[in-house]
Amino acid sequence: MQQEIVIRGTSKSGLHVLLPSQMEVSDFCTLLRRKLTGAGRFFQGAEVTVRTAGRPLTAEEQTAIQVVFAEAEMRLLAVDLGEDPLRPPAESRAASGPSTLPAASVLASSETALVVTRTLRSGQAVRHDGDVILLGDVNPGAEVVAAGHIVVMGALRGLAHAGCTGNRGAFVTAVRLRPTQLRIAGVVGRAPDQEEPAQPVPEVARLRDGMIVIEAPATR
Amino acid sequence: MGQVVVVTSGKGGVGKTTTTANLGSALAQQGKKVCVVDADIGLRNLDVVMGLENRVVYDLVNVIEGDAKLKQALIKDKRCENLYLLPAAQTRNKDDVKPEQMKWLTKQLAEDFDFVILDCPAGIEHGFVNAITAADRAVIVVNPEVSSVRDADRVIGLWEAQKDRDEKTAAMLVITRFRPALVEKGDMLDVNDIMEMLAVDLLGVVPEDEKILVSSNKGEPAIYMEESKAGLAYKNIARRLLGEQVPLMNLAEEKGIWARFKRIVGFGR
Repeated sequence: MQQEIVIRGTSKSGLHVLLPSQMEVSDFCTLLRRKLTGAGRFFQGAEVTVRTAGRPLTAEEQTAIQVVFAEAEMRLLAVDLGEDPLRPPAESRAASGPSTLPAASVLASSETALVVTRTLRSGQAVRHDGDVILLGDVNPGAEVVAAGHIVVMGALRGLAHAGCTGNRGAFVTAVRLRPTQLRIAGVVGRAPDQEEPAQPVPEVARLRDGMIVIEAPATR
Repeated sequence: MGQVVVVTSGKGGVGKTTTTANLGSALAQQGKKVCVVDADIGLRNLDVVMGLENRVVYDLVNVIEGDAKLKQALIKDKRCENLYLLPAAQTRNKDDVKPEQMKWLTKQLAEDFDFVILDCPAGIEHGFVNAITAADRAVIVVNPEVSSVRDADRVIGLWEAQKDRDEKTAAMLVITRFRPALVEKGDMLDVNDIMEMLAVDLLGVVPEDEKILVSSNKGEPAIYMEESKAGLAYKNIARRLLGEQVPLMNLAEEKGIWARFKRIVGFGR
């Protein structure tokens, strides 16, 4: 079994190295060392994150990996239990069909999240080529447009457009999700014309079967 | 140096001019030296509301263009010793004044007065920019009504973008034409709804009052009218602007003797 080790560049958090799910850590280290020495001084000084796709590493394993990177004069930033960030989740891959639009590039840019620490008032807008995290409210008449996801730590009463470059896997979430209009990729939805519930709960809006649905954050 | 306060709203007809006239008069009554400035060039009416229309000789544009001295253009109020009005030009338009000129003018005034209150035109165009550029503090007038709240939100955003957002320049809210009976029935935005949306300091709530209409037509600010609830509200607003802690007055209308009786006995609210 000859598995390839994948090293990916990201725009903000340096290089990402994926630990294949069935590979022993010792094999991983051997292959990684071979790959890095083969690359000469190319990776020298780079900052790197190892992604393990949910597999926890022991302290020894982590040290072993760190040593390999140190030999190549690279710096291990973190070991991330997360998935490959560049691969869209299974659901959105299915939704966008086999020959997808450049979902990878869209998601890659969404690596860079923009953090806005104020309330957007009417007439104000935030546009970003990635995720947007907003600590404050989005008032009616204000707009948030993002290539990636939109997270509002407050009341979203204005307009939000997630995945504006076509990422159908993008979502919009808010502590109080009461937008005048929601857009995800090319789909437009608006708030129902009914009274809002007395007790507001955080909700997530995402695309399901080509329609924007709003659900509690826990359900997936 | 006095403070330059702009009274603005975005939306028209919410009570900017009424608020300017009453706030100016009430501050003057408190012993402050006040100058109210009509920044609504081309649509002059602060002088009318204050009953000083027939005394206008020179106006703001005359002063800026050097045709008159500032002292010549200032009109002394007929009721209050330490209140003055600088009227707008009626035959000119807003483009005749530049923001820097307005800034210069208010700076001149702030040297002589404790408060310079600018009556801002409706809208967010040139006249609005003139007024907010020249001001240190903003009083936002809003009606308990969705479109007015929306416009106020926009205006607060523009104000905050223009000024550094510190304590001193924070926008302050005055809710006018408030009708407690409608709020009680759920047909009008509540003070809390408005505050939640706009998230700025509340300076006061002025109830809807027929006397305001009468006072505007008579050219006599409501604070001089006995038993005007709106007048009392404006007096309280002036005191709060001076830093005094004044509780919001009870706006609930008495619903006849039976309601009062029930409240005394302890039933109902």
